[in-house]
Amino acid sequence: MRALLTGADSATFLEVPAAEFAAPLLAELVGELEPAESGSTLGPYRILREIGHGGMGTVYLAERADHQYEKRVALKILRAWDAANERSVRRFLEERQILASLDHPDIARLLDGGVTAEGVPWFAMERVEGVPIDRHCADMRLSIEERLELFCRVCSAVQYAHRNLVVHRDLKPANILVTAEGAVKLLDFGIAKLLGRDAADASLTGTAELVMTPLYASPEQVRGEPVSTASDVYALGVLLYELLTGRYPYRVATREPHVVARAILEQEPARPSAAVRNEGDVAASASAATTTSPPQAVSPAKLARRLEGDLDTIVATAMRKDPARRYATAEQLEADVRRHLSGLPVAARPDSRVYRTQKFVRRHRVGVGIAAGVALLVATFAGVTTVQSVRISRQAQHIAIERDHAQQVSSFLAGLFQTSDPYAGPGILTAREILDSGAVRVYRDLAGRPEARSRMLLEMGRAYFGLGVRDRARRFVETSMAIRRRSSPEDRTALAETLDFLAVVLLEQGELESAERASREALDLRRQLPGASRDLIGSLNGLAAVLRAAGRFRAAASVSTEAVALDDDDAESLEGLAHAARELGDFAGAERLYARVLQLRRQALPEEQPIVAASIINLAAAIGSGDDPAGADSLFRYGLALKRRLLGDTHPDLAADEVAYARLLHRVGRAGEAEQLYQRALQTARQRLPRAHPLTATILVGLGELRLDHRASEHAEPLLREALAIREAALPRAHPHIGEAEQFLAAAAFARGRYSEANRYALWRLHLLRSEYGDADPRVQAAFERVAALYEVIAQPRQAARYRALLAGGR
Amino acid sequence: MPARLRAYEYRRMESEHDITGLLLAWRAGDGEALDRLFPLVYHELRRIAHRQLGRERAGHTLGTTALVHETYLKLIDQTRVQWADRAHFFAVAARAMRRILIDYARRHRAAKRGGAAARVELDDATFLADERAHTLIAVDQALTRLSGLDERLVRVVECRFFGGLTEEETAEALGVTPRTVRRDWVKAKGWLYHALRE
Repeated sequence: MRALLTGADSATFLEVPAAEFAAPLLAELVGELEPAESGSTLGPYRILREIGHGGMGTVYLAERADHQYEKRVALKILRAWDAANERSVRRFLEERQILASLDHPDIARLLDGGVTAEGVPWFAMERVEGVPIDRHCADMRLSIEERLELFCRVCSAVQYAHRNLVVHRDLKPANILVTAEGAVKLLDFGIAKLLGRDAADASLTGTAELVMTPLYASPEQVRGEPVSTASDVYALGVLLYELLTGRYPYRVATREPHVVARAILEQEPARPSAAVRNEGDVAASASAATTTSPPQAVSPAKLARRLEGDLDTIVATAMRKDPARRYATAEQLEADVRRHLSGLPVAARPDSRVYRTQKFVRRHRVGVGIAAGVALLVATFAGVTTVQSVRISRQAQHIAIERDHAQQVSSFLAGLFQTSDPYAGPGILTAREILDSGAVRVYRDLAGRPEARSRMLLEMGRAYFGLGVRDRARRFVETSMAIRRRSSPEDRTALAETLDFLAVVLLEQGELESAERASREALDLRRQLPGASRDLIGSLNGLAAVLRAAGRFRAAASVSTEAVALDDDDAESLEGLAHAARELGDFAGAERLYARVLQLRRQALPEEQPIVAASIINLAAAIGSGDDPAGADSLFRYGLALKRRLLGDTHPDLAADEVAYARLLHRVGRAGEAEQLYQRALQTARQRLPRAHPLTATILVGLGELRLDHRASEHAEPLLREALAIREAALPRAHPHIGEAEQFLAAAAFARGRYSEANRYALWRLHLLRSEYGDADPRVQAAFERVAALYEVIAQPRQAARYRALLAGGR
Repeated sequence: MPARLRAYEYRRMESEHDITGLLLAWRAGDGEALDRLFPLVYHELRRIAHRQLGRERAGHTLGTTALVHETYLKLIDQTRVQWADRAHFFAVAARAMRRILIDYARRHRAAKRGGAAARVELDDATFLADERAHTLIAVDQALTRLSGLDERLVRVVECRFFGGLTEEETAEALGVTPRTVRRDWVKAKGWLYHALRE
């Protein structure tokens, strides 16, 4: 079923503008949009064609346009998309900086750099024409000695970088070219790192490391731990292994990243001599065979004897899992190879077996960080798939087992992730990292498993949402949804669950119509399902929340009432009803309901929970709005202190509560404190929320109202205007809160003697209220009175009388 | 460098006049003018779209209305045109927008087929993108079929769906009443809905 058609009928179909509909597509293309077209010029260079793209830049072949030199260069431009991202720009400039600091004949040189007319940075590098080192060795059928010589040149280039405090981090044959003249050239410092930078920088490239194919990654890189020059030494070890044996050191069935990553962490590679001697290995690792061929013109047995001893030990030392036990520098590695070449004893010593085993076990018990734990979990999840999918055709039973397993892992992961939601308990600092690393793997590793993938994407969407990474949460959920609709539309429970959460995400992003559509679809599905009233209640509560956000409080109240009827001890349903009651002006009812909600929550949860604190504040606000504003004060302060302790000082949720308390302070005449609190909340909102967030508008209205009451209307007006602008953009047309801003703008205009303007605002507010609540509503009645009074002020008694008549008739 | 800048500025000015002239010629009944106008609008719209995408951080969305208006302001010499010309320009821009989005969708599909090294983005939503590309292309093809039956319905869809124009703007651009636009829009959506269902 087409995306446009799912969940749509012919009335809503095509109502999303095409460009918005295409957003996921654009998101993907945006990285590929050519920042420069061929034939265009950058500084003195003319672009000829694209020759590749790396982490965040596109590389073009270019030539000097001014014919000063007939020189071709490789020109790297930051992708337009990344140019908008400060961190990417910094990262890109860092690569440029790194290249500028390196001046070595065997490292591709930086020639020039600048920014385009649109401010996108670029740089020109020496254009290297050559072949990857492994292919060069194979093509030229180099002998062991020739290979070792070439390897030594690579080592000294790497050593040069190390001496300049640069770790390459991505050494692999594709980045080590040999030119037609036989010179070695090191390329691509795209993820290289300047040593001694602060920790903040590590995060810059953390994801890049996770994304790359880890064939040459060291165990510490796989685990996401800090890298050092020893990481490059490790990669050089793998390279040497391949050059000597023609084979990748680990036995891996496929090159899928999770398979390789696991091998790197867990396997001890066979010694190079054993690898070439054992003919069986050739078949076993065929799928992972490198493009290298073993040194020519020798039999496997002869080659094995040649490798035995020194070379085995050198390779093993370079490739040790513990970075501290490798050669400390590329220079030491090179020195040992040279000693071997000149027949001198090498410095490296083989590991004792006991030592090896001890280390291995210890590391795997405790050494694996949480991130790696998740990575492995997902890997297991995927691993089960691969192995078992073979058997599925044989035994249906296996499918059930696999399902169970997937479910287990999934809920385990879900549990891990949910800890990053502050409402579910104390947070883990690295939650975002766990998630990011999991994201890559889930996406890739579960490709053939729509069911599991959809499930995982949903869980991760939840987790991202909990972390406040809202746009990413949305994309995960939407993707989950799309997969679900296509692969298993018959699983209505899962579909409804996904829709429920999608509604939450959309609601948060202010897309109320879409949220309502998703919510109603979920509800319809739930109603068709037998039993499971718990889930039905959840969907009802979701819909009620959407309706409240749209300002349709009466509709929300009736939905909440249905939920309460299903279970009158469900705190969430009761709370929904309470919110609606409060908005509809029934403060006593709201107070009663909030009190019950708090009671239920305190029974179920310890006091130190954000949700308990929220219940306390809700109750306080209801009490404060009713007859006893002063009585709410202590409850408010207790709730706020509790929440501040749990969420920190600048959580947007806290700002919402501060506004509620500020409003109370205003009501009881403590204007100074109220002003202060509003200011604080406003500051939080401006820092932590998107620019035009409804909460910001609420704060502005509150502060505006306060200033108006204290005859500072000229300071109130700009606030109110801003609030109105936000609300008009963010809320549906008929939302009563829009009328609220108008009411105060009317008052401000009135205070400054602009009576006609005040009347216009008042009329518009009346119009909004009337269409929502009907003429008998007290708010509408009050608005009639205000409008009538304003007409009297501007000397239009006939109009005034009309509204007075409505007032009389209404009562 | 300054010399080159001046040359560029000069070219830009010249093409600006061209485009305004073409728009006026087309309005005056010169059918060929549209054929020459279209690629110029397409190019500029695409350029501005790219810049917008490059600038936009989170949403990856193109604000169609802003895009079309910016293109108009950029290309058309305001002193030489009348209010009604603006609407006609919008209709051309809407059609160009259709082409641009369909180009993106095709490009997306071609990239999939070419098996370009499957780079995994952290927040990859390839699947969703696949679906969207697929649907857009299906809509485009259905529109092409529809143009054999009722050309005006196609224009309405271009203006409303691809160009993001309001009912009034669409009416002005096509020289019909807003009521006709509303009726056509419902009819076109119904037709497309069933065409895509099949």
